[in-house]
Amino acid sequence: MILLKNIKIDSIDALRNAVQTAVELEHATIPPYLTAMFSLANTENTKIAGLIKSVVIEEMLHLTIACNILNAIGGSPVLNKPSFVPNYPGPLPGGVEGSLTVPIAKFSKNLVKNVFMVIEEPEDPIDIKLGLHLMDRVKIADSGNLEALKAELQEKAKALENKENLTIGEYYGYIKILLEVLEITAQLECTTIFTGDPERQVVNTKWFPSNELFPVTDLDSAKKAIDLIVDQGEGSSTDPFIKDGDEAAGEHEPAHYYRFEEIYMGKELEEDSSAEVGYSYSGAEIPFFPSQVPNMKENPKTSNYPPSSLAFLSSNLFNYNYTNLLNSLHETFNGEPDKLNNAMGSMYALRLYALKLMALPDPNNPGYVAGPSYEYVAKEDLTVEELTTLNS
Amino acid sequence: MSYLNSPRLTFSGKFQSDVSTVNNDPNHFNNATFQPSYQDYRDEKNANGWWNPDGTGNFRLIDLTIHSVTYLDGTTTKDPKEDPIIGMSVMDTESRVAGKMVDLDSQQQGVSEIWGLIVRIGQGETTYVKGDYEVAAFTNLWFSRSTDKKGSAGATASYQSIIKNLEWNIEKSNSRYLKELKNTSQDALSIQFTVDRYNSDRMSPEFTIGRMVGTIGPAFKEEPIHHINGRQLFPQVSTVNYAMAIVDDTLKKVVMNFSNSLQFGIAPEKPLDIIDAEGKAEKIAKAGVGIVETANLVLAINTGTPSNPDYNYIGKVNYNTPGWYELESGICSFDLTDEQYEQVQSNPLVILDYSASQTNVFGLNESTTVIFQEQPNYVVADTYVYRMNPSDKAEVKFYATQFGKPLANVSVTTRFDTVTLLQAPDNPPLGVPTSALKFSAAITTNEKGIATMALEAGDPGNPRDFIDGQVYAITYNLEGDFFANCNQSNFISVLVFDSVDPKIIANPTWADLQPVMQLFSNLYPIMSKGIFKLAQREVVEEHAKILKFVFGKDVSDPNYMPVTRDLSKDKQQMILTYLTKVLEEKEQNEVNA
Repeated sequence: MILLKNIKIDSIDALRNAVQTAVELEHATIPPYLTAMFSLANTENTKIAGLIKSVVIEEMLHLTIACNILNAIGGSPVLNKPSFVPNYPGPLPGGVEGSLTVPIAKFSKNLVKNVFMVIEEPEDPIDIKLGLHLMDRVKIADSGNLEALKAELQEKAKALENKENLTIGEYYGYIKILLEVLEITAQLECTTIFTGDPERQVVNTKWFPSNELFPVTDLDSAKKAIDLIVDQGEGSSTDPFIKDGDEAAGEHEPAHYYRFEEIYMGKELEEDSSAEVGYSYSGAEIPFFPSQVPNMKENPKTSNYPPSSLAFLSSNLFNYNYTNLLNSLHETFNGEPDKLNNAMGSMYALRLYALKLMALPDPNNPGYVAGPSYEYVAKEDLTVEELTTLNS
Repeated sequence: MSYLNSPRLTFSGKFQSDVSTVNNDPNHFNNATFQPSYQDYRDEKNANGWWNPDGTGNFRLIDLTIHSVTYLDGTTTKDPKEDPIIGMSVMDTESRVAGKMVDLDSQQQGVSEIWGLIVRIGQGETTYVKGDYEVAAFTNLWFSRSTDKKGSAGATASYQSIIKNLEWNIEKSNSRYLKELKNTSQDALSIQFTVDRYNSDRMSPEFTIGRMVGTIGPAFKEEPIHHINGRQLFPQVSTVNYAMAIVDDTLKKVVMNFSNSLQFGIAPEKPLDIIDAEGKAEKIAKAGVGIVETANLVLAINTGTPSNPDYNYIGKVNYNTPGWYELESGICSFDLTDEQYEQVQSNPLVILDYSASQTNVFGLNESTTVIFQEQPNYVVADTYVYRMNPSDKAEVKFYATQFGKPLANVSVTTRFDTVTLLQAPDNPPLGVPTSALKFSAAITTNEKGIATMALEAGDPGNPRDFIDGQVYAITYNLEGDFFANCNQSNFISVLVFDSVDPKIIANPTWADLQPVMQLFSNLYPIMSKGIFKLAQREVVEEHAKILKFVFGKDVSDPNYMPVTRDLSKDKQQMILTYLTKVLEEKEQNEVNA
């Protein structure tokens, strides 16, 4: 389970900062998931690749939703800075010291077990074989009395503020409570914190269905958006499957943690009345062919490749494209929602650059192939580096 | 006005062209005989998929540094302290996929175009001006450019186009150059670059990278986009290639583009100007790649006749000063005296190999060989590459000049010349039927020297069997002249696609789509291996939404599919109809469920 540093939100600015951290956190999971998925391309591990892909797409959705929330409350997401990208291997943004170290690595079951499942682990995962006690989710009571509701919420917020660290679910829960507290406070003064320009909301049915990606314009839509992120990521503490309650039902998918556990266990998750918790990994097989996965050296860095190697050139080109992708996302979330189409184009291109890298020998490590490093490059930096290469 | 006018800048550096090469062999278009090995790299025995079967088509600008600017008043600087734009970069997109380099056709690979490129001038995160590069094809392809290289590495070619839809952001810049450029040419910029020394060795760290030098300057509506209305210098010996120049009437200068004109090779070792105590050269300069110094090139006006010349010398072409090519991008500028300015209006420019020795106190023994000779009367089709569908119409604009000034009321004659120019043995037949492309055999220029020719496409009726459509080449020249005397790059290439039965377009089945998708899957393996296996029905249907999006994009969009831009409008429509149907069925199934 990932533990995040505790935060204290006492103003709309602090709330915006907390949501920006959520944006960074959602993004930070994408490069490691993508890399594992890329390493399965053109192998027979299509089922595993498909499961990881379904998670990656939802992480992209969460990133988009978090940006929508930030825009809704008058903030401006920042994605186009080198500091936006974590340094791999390293902790996730907002994570506590000494918590999980996330690498960029080829697919392996250990990676799934020791990294991906830890990232997605809910506070109380259902132990599908042994069974676990169940906890009711805290439900925010409806109340006609705004002042009373506010007091109630503030108490809940305080309880979270008093915890040393927060899970990702708690982090979002805290943001949700504070959204409500600040909105109630604003409403009592006949204003609102949802001052953002609705034109900045990103909705695009080409890439995400409208029941998953919708404009965030008020408290209800913001709460619904956060619930969706948490539900897709962690599920509830009784049901490993994502709720179908939201309007047009999507596929019946387990939450991320359990999707990764499916991969680890090698079988699909199914309802199972004979199992204590009602579920077991007893469905169709999810085969893994490890010998087909390119042997990528963990945590590649452009600067580790000799400037006179093709890996260096290809790594730079990957990072060019990755940077372009972040820049186009930045534009998308800063008033040009249609640029999402450009970003998706770069997403596909990123895959091709990664596959090219994984087909090249790692110049420093015999027996290994090169890999993507996900480094934000200002072209300025690149010019200096490449000048030395290309002029040598 | 063009890139040769002021205010202009020069830049140089590298480019990447990651073209896919499986489609370089026309016979690879035959699905029936296609072998999986055609997607492998060439080896010692087999051509396979040539040198880059995994190519993406990406075209990128890399490490292009601005080295010099020339202001409106003709003064010039290479000093960043004088103008901060010096040392800054010419870059491509920062927020979408790379532009694409694409052949017109497997049987016309001599006019590769650049699509979807964005050009930016700036530094790092800062963009001062950016815009869209108008699709352009290369010209003046010259295979014997670099004598130390073979094949495409030894070749060079030039691109000229405009950058349009400009976004300026120069308020924070204190560059005099940028201010002058914006004031002179706010809507569009003229850009020319020459590419050479391309690396197609996949084991090399510079694989798919080549050298680029270029120039950016003002552009105006009345000028051609892909050529200059200027002075055309034709090579007279086999070791040089076409050059072009303008006479700048404001500044009274000749400004010449020599970027695609001279040979590069390994310069021999030579002593440096350091002499040791014994009088021997202390150091020997290493052999290195440089311009082949063969001649003492001098620009002159010939006021006599070709057989009885009378030269008025303008100045030396200083191509052999260190760094000339990269710093000046092959652009040379010469001041004209009033007399020369007068003479140059009606007399041809020449570039001579000039030597002089003193025979005695009274006599100078001059020796001259003509290396370049101006073609006084000239005509060129501005856009010379066309993709057309049956019943499409297009207009070809010809610009005729005499000594660089518009040549009014002259006739331009045209004709098919496909087989001579493009037909290779053992390849499908080109240029037939001629009935599938109509145009006038002669058109006349207006007072601006412009003649417009209508092109009208019919339906070729699938003469190449496994390759869609047909390729045609149209040559042209001024009446009374011959194409043989013209620049052999100056002909028009047209690809006319076949039609598809409207009944099939309206209601296509997978059997109708499969051969088209199989072709892309065969010829563009990076896509079929890396993203979508397009030849498989279930893959196409699973990804119907995204495929409909990219197949339906505008052809100028860098995300357009197919990257190769060789899909007919009818087949595109057929694919889109099919995908729409799939999506409708999916939706219906969801509703039913």
